[in-house]
Amino acid sequence: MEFKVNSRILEKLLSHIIPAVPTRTPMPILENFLFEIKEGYLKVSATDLEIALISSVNVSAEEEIKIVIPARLLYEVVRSLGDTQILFETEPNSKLKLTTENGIYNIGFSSPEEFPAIPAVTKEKEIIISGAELKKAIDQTSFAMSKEDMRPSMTGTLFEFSEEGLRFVATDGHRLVRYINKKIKNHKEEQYIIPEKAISVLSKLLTEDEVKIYFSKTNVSFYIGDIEFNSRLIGEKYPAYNSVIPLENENEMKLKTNEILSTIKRMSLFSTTSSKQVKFTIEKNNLEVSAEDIDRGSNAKEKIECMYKGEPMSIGFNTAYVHDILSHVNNEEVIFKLHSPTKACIVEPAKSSENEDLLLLLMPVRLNN
Amino acid sequence: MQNWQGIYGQRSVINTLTKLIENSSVPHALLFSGLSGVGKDFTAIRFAQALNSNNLPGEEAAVVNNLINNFNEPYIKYILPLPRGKNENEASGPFEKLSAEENENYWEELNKKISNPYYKIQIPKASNIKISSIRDINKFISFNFSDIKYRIILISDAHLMNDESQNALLKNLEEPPAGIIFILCTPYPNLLRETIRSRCWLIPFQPLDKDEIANILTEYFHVENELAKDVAPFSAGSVTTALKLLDHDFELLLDKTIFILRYSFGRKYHSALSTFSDFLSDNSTESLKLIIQMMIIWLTDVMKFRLNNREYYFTKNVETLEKFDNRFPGIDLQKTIFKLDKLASSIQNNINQNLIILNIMFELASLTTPQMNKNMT
Repeated sequence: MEFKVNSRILEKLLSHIIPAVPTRTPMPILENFLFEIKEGYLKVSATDLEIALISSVNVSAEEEIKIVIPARLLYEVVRSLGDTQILFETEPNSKLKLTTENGIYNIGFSSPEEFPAIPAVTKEKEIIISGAELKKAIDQTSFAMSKEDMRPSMTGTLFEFSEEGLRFVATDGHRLVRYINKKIKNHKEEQYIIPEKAISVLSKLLTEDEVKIYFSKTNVSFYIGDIEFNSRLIGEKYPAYNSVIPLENENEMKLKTNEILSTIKRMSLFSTTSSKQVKFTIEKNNLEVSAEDIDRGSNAKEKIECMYKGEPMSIGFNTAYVHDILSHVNNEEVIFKLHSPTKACIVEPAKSSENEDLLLLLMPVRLNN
Repeated sequence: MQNWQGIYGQRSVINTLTKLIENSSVPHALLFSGLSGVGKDFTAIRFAQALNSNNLPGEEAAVVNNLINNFNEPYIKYILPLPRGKNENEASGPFEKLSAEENENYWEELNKKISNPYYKIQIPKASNIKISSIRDINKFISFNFSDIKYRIILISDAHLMNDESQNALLKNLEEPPAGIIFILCTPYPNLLRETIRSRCWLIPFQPLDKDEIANILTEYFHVENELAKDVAPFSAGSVTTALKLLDHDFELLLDKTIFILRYSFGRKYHSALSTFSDFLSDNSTESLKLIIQMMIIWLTDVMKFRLNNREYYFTKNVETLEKFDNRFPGIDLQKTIFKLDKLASSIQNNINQNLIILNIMFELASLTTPQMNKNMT
């Protein structure tokens, strides 16, 4: 078997696939690429059993072949070659011979039997979304995914289909984000939880191009250009997040997002490292933000103008969480919808575009008076 | 019954497991308890195969069986003690911070286990099951693998989980999702917390009989037939012990045991000490335990000789046995065995090895005193 391919083209292809190759693993086979030549295509796949990446490129080869090659070795060689033609040949002693203008490189390969099968996702349910829109949805929500493994379902992002649109939800119990893309409507409610790793790999793969998404009971696959990205879904039920979103938060406070964000950054310097508490004292059209570190004897407060309709109130938050939430508002002005100092607070952009809806929810912390 | 192919002994275990499969009432957590080296891991693998390849057409079954045999996830998740990597912290995965060398060493050991299911994996510095391995189980469980009938989580040497790891395991052990089966293997179930034990179905493994040991040694470890038969009776039903005895040059070990006893009873302290030190040149407590064990076996053989029971362990040394009894007829064997046993158990208290050796010698020598006094009067 032999075929030729340009090193730059192959490098690009391999660089898309390499994120699915695990570095340290109990299963050595996973540190390989699966190389398949079939019907004039070179198809390269890799998987860590959680996610899988597959991509292909046109080559002219006469024989079909299926082999397993050490991923990192091949990738590093191809990457360092510069722009050149590489001739691939299989030798009888299980060696893959790469020949360039100046060099010959032999890499041992093995048979593909042990390479885990990548689950095929049926194409019955197809969703088409623009890469930019999907990327925005992920950027808006992924920061709120939980890092604790006691509630596995919360370590992923929920994709929820509904008549209202496609909802992206992430929460760690302290804050919650719900982003709705209203263009993608579905008459049946369906939930799929995509694990954190898949989300982070996916956000790096996305471009402006259109993305096709297919779901099965156990897997999801994304087709981005000539890349196929497949991930296992989390098998648990997502918590009933709707029940924590309050409906009667009548006290509304409108602020300039930049101002409050910059204040919060300063307050985080003064809040205690353990509780990270910051206090909002809200009166008519006036917000006082304060923080105190008793251990070090330092404290700070700032006043910000705001528009406020409602009862005067003092409420505490965690600076890190407020900061995260505010950095994802994406609008000049932000609205805090409050009920009482112990109930969840809703944060929303003052204006949102036609086809989307963003809701951020923040749990307050009890103030230590 | 071909599912249980290759397993020696353990008929009652196999019967129980077969019944569980037949009645489709497999508990979600099993505790395999029994000596090290009686085939617990191996039985777990065969059990996983039986569960998954049941009712599958021949070819598919073969593929699945092969994957399970090679410890491939997601069919089987193999948890075992691992060394701690450099700069490993709370968030690191169990393999993430291991050096390339350690990772490769693991693969090598795993390969040995794959080709020989009675092999005991030995990884340097792997003294406990890491909490990250247990967290990894949580992650493994959380994925949707409803396309696979059963996923087995096999925890080898489960007693090497510390309290933190055992607590982390509890939640999933109690209520795993459908299709997840935990199998915990350990020779010391009492070292596990009550809360873990009470959540598992206990399957006790029996020590193997001497023919089974001999067969395993020849088939799986390529030990010569003759030697395998000789060493088997001394193994106390455990392949691991048999291999330890072979490691210590079994034939020589027998001779040395007799020498040490003879020299000690005969008060030839210098010779006894040098034979002893010679044997314990590796300074390992294991070797010391082993030789004390051998002494005890020898003395029971002498006791059998006195009682006219001809079922000896030291079958090749019957003449010596007779001579030994003639030479030291008055020794209170029971008392001697009792004392040796006590000394053997003191090894784990971190007592100086030389002190134990001297103690053994003097204890043995003191037993001959009354006899000698009698002779003199």
